[in-house]
Amino acid sequence: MGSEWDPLLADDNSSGKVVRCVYSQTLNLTRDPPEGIFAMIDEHRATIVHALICGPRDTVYDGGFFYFLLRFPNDYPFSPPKVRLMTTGGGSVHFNPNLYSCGKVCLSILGTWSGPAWTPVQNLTSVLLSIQSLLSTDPYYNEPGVPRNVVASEQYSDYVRHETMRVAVLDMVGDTSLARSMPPKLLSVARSLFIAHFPVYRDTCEEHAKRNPEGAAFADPLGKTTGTFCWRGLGSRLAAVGSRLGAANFEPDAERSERDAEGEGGGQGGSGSPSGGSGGEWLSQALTPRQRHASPGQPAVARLSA
Amino acid sequence: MQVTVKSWHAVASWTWTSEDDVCGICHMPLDGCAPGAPGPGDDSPVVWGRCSHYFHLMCINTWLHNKNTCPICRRKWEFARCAA
Repeated sequence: MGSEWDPLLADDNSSGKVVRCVYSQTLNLTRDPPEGIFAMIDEHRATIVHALICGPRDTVYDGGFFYFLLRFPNDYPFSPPKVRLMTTGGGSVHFNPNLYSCGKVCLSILGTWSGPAWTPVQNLTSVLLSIQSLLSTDPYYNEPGVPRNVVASEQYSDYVRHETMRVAVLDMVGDTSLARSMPPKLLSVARSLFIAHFPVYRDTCEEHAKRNPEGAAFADPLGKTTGTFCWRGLGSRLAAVGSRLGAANFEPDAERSERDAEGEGGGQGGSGSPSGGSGGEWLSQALTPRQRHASPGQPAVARLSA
Repeated sequence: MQVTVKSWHAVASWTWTSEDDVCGICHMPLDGCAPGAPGPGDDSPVVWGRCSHYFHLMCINTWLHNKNTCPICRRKWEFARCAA
């Protein structure tokens, strides 16, 4: 397999035109961010963008943090960016038939898959939205040519859900080399969403510990991976990471008023107040534009223009 | 005081009119300057395809070297004749 797709192996010779284009597309994204998508330009290399895509709710990727590196080539936007998924558990997890464990993202607009190819009207936002759309409810069926098979699809979903918790949640917000390799601003976005989503993670671990017995082998119908379920182990790790990040005894209302007291709300205090409710409802509050605007890209972008 | 106009020079300015005011390729205003163009207006003309999509001439030309399709609808690109 060639490595043309890999942003880590590409040359770094950026023209002013590309830098301007990447800058304005990143600015557009941070001004009007799609739900669960965060991006910022690298501090040192202006043609590299770091992106965090959150697993959409009601999918097996729910609450997962998927960290991508994008490099924009010299002739951008006439060629697609090179994209790599960094969240792979050290090259061990095959999160989706289109997301390889080596980090390759198989998507026709990126030129790594057959189908509608790249055109220059695509942009950073459309690329990240296309990737987010891969994180769907029944990822098994992203594999081309598989017949309808409910059992296989559920087995694959069980595997993906477990690895999402182990790698895309706990490795991403815990004290791991992967977490340290992210820009600190993206890491703090992930950690604050983790705290908001904590009760949902706890429920997921408890619920699936009943479904997938501890120590049972993964039944990956696509045969790409091996390993065993350890939902109870993940539950203990979750509690440890949660208590270290201050989420263990998390009370949505208390947490929010604390944050507002720190002045984050600015002149908007009192608006959009979450009415308590379940953890799931609260996550949608955590993802309101106000917080997303306050979070990642913009400071980095401002630094670039200074 | 009364003046008599003996002669005058008419001056007009023009701009591109379109529903969407940026080029889909470079995201710069259509009546602005495509990246690499010497200047806006006549130096950075806008062209239409027969599919009715439009871009800066410089932007679409760069793409057409790559592939002869409209970047928006992916149909074969053919320049529309200028409407008078």
